[in-house]
Amino acid sequence: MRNFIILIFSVFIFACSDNELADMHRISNGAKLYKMNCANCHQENGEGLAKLMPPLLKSDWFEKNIEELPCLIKVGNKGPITVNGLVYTQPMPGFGHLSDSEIKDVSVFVAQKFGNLTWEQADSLFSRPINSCN
Amino acid sequence: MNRFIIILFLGLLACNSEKKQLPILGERTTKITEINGKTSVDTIYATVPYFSFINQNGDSLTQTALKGKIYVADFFFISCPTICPIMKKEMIRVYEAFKGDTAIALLSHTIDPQHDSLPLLKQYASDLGSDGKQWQFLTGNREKIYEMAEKGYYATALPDSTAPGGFVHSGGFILVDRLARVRGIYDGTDPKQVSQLIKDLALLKQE
Repeated sequence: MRNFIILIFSVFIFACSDNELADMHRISNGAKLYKMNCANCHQENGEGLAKLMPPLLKSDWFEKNIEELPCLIKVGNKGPITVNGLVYTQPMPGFGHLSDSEIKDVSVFVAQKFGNLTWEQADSLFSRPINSCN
Repeated sequence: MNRFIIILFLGLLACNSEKKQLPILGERTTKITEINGKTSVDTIYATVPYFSFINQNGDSLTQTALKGKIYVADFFFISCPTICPIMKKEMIRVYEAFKGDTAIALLSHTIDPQHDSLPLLKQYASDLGSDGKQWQFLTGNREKIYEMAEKGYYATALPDSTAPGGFVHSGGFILVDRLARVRGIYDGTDPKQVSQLIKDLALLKQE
């Protein structure tokens, strides 16, 4: 029985192409980065914190601004931001210490987890290089 | 045999009637007095030293104003990117559990008074849903705040250029009784410990 399970497991591993394995790594990396860098303020479930930290879950900000997400993460936000009709004034620090590929991974994670996008949609949306943030 | 069962039963009843009491933390000393040749020994418990800080509205808050109140103290700074938001989420739970209860107060001390101005503290308090009276956000002389953290509440609060946000501080919620004695320290980032604090606050109210 044990050998059979190992055999099945091996078949699954070999069935994944290198690209698929790389994608799996990026998905788990995005989740890990979110937990380390974002979840303290926006919470693990994305619901935010009172009127202090805006929610990501069911956030209308994504509807018009989702493409700005990598830049928002990279440089932060100083001014007020309106989410679901509420104005949040607390500045968000930038995460410039993350590499561009890490920022993409966490952006993809946020967009597919809270922004109603599939992983493929989010991945293609953030495929451009992050080089023109204001 | 029957007698044994009755004794056991009475023993259990005695256990149940004994009220659970929270410990009194800190150093204690004894005071020996002799009146009319009779010696009595009193235990003197450590209390939070006298303090005077300014709240988010610019009003002064002294220990005298809190006389007879139970309160929970913590330390934070507005731009803190690490444990503060988690602590504040948990403090909201404590606040919601005792909202409007005049016997209980919550005191959040900023450890970055240079940056956390009164308008910022006021906005922060309001954003967290505080009424500004029961849950107050305190500032004052930086050294006094650090000293109070260490000596009054057994907490850590220090500037540290290598720490995220520039400060290190412990995430404790410190429970103080009506006589200014520390009765418990809870990890303000751990929901289980904060649930215990909420239970202990209710217990302390009955003393």
